[in-house]
Amino acid sequence: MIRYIGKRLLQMIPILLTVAILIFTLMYFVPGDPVEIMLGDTATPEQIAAARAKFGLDKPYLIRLWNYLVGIVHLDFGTSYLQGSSVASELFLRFPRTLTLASLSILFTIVVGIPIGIQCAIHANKLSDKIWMFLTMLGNSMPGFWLALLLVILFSVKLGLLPSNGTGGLEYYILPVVANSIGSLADIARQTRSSMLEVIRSDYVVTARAKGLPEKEVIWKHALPNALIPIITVCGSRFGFMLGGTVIIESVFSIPGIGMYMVNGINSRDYPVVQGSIIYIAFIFAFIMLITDLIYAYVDPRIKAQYVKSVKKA
Amino acid sequence: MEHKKTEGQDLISVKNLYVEYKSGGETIHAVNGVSFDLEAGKTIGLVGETGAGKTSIARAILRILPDHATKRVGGEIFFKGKELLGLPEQEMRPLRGKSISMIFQDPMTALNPVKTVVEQIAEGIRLHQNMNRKDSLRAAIKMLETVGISQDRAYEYPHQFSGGMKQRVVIAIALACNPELLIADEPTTALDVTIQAQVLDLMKKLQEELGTAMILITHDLGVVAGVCDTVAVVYAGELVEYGTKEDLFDHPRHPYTKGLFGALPDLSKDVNRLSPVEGLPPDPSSLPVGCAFASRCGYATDKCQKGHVEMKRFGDTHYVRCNCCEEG
Repeated sequence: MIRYIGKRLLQMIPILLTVAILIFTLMYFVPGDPVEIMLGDTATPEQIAAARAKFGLDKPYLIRLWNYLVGIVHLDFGTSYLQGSSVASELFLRFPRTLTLASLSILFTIVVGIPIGIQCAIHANKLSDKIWMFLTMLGNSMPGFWLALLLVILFSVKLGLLPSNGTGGLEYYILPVVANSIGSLADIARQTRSSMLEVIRSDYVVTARAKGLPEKEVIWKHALPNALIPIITVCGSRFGFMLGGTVIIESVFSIPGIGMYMVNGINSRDYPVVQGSIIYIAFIFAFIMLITDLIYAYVDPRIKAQYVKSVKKA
Repeated sequence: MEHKKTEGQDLISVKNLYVEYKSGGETIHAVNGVSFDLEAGKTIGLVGETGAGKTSIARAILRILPDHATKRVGGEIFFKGKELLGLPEQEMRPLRGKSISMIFQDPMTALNPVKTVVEQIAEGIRLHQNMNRKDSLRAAIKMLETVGISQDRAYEYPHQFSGGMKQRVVIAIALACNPELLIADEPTTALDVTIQAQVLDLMKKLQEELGTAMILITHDLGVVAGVCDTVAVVYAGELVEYGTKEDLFDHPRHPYTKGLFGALPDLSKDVNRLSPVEGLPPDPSSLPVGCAFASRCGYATDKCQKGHVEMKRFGDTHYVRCNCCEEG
């Protein structure tokens, strides 16, 4: 197992290098010049040339790429053109906020979404199931920012119960978490319902019932573990997205997280910021996928057996 | 049908059992008025084609019919004098797995793939015998050894087991709490012939040791001959012939039962081809008014087509549902 994890971590290196080269190249071809945006219309050609030389933008593509990649290997993601601060340290500064928001959101998603899905599967096609499925469809199709604004109007403006923006204690995260998770929650509920429906009628569930186990244990201990794999997949990718920063939620609630950092970078053609953020997102996604795969192995002994076998062969 | 015995003697007594399913607006008449009795320690065989309603009878006794598809369960099932079908779920649950347990048809799917086999056996023991985890695991390992699986494989998962071993585990789960009644739903169908004999021997041995009564569901007449005391032939959700093993094997009376025996190869005779029962069983969503077997029967008359055929008694123990057989 440890060898498998090591192998997966090593596999991340070429993935991240490819992402770095791709995003660097893309940014190179994107129209718009950071220097012109920064200095404005009044800048003289001399000033522009000087700024270009300062940021190394006057050098040819290959040399700039090489310099950038060498920097990355030393964990140096460059400095922001606009703020002049190191991209890496800025990402580190913002990461805890995004991590808190994402972790609380995925927790909320799982704790609420899975039980809803299970209830729907147990009462499939009955009225309660139909109502929940309608609500989850609503949750799925409702834009996050709209829900966020509605929540702010109700809980902050009208009732004055919760802060509407900024960061601080846990209460600052309640509204963002709800707004951030409603889509995933609906997704998880639906996924749980459909994969529970698949296993709930299988023979081993009948075996469990025939043993005399209470229905609760039949569902939670026998059916659910077998339905978990697709649920984990959805949770993993949702969590990955959330960790990448949720621009809209961060903007509505003015949380200075990674999503806002990247979008500001894109708007001002702040190449190092954009590239650094993208590489961070690629890394975090690959990392979450690895964790997801490890959870698969924990949940399903057949998958674990495959990992162990593949390591033996290698 | 009339019984001379009083109810007290029987471990289980099924009376006029009906099971109906719903499927796409249609009603499927799976079991239509089945009655039989079984004394403690004895074995009854339910024989019939696929889809005749044998498994539905078994699941109705344990009350584990699929909720979403079941439309109606009617009749009465007395287990040690207690009527099961009307019992509240909380009182039914302690019986399941403890007093009545079931061996399932397909060992490949009957075991939970994400739990170790020993845990799947121990679970029931823990529940019914009030044991702690450690003791229940020890008891489960003992049970595994009883069915011939060594204890160093106890903590493996079902996917690491062969079909025959999985079937043994399924048997171990069913026997773990020394049930008074064991329902074995085609316990050997999924196994190859050499393993079949082993599994049957094992079940017979355990039955003798524990004094368990057994309802054996099968379409294999050879298995019936080896294991059963009484036999009930099920056709289209009805018993068409019911009696002791000797009654049925030596004097089969119903044309369907005769047909079943005719479909068996007999090495002592010089026949080139087996004689199968021609045709298909009737559609359970629209059963005929008269005898369900009439359309496949060589002796069918107008009388058979028109009215429902009642069970007739022959001798002390032999019952046949056929117009052509004269009461004796």
